[in-house]
Amino acid sequence: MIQNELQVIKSAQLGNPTCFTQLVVAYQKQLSCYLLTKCFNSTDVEDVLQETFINAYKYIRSYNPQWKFSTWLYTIANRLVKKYNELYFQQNNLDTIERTSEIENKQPNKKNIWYHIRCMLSPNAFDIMWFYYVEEFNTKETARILHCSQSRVKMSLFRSKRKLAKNKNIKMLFQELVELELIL
Amino acid sequence: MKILNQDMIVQRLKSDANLLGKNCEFDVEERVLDQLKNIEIIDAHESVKSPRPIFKKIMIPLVGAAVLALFASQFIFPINTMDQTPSNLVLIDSAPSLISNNQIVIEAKTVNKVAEKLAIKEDMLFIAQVFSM
Repeated sequence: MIQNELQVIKSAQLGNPTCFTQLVVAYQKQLSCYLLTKCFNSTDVEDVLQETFINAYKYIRSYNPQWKFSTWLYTIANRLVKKYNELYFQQNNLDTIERTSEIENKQPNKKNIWYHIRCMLSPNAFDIMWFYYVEEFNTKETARILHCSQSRVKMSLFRSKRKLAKNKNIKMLFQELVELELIL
Repeated sequence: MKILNQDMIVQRLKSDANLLGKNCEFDVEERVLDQLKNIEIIDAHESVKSPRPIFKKIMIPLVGAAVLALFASQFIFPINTMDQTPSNLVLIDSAPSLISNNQIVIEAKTVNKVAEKLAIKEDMLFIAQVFSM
């Protein structure tokens, strides 16, 4: 987290690349973790990451401080992910059945809770869970990034939690025979 | 039996999310910085200015034409409009809330406004003529 983030953003809006680099350093790690769950190979992750920041710099004057900077950044990233993934499908002639993301391609990730969540939930429901729990966006911010209503976000969260609570793999990951349904 | 609480689950979700990036370190800082030199910051107001005239020219007449088509399909033109101007048109609707003497009169000025904005008076007259036949 940057101290005086708004000040740094204002300087970047005036065309100060050094200030903008501070934002890149602050957000690239968390953004790359998200992109690993969305893109289909690490090259795309890197490209989307780079293009997100470049677009952010280009249009930084349109950033509205009413929202978190990360909300704006994820909105850009999300659009680019869609673009890159469509391109990937076209180039590889893939259908929906074969769509597996980078997170699903890596064997060690099978012990990661997000691997199972990614396998279980729809891409949209997955995004909602990620934004809400990992990025700590509220439902309003999540809805803004995904261009949907707040009630849809709330409903999706509720349904996802119920679904996860009933999943054996998730329960095993926590190594507890507790009824997650009650506590999630 | 140890009961997991919500905090522990959320903690696990966060820590596992961070673990994802552990084996793949992406460092785009230098690459981005290198490209920023050649990029000009676009003024948000400038960037949205250009699509608007196109929107006005194409989309609004299209939407307006669709609205008029809807009018034409739902309303009855009770008078012969062959020698009438759009301002004299009286349209009848079936919306219950507006029913007056079993007929609803859509104000001629509303029709005029639509026609005026879309500059398709002749088209509207044409529609009116077709429906009055």
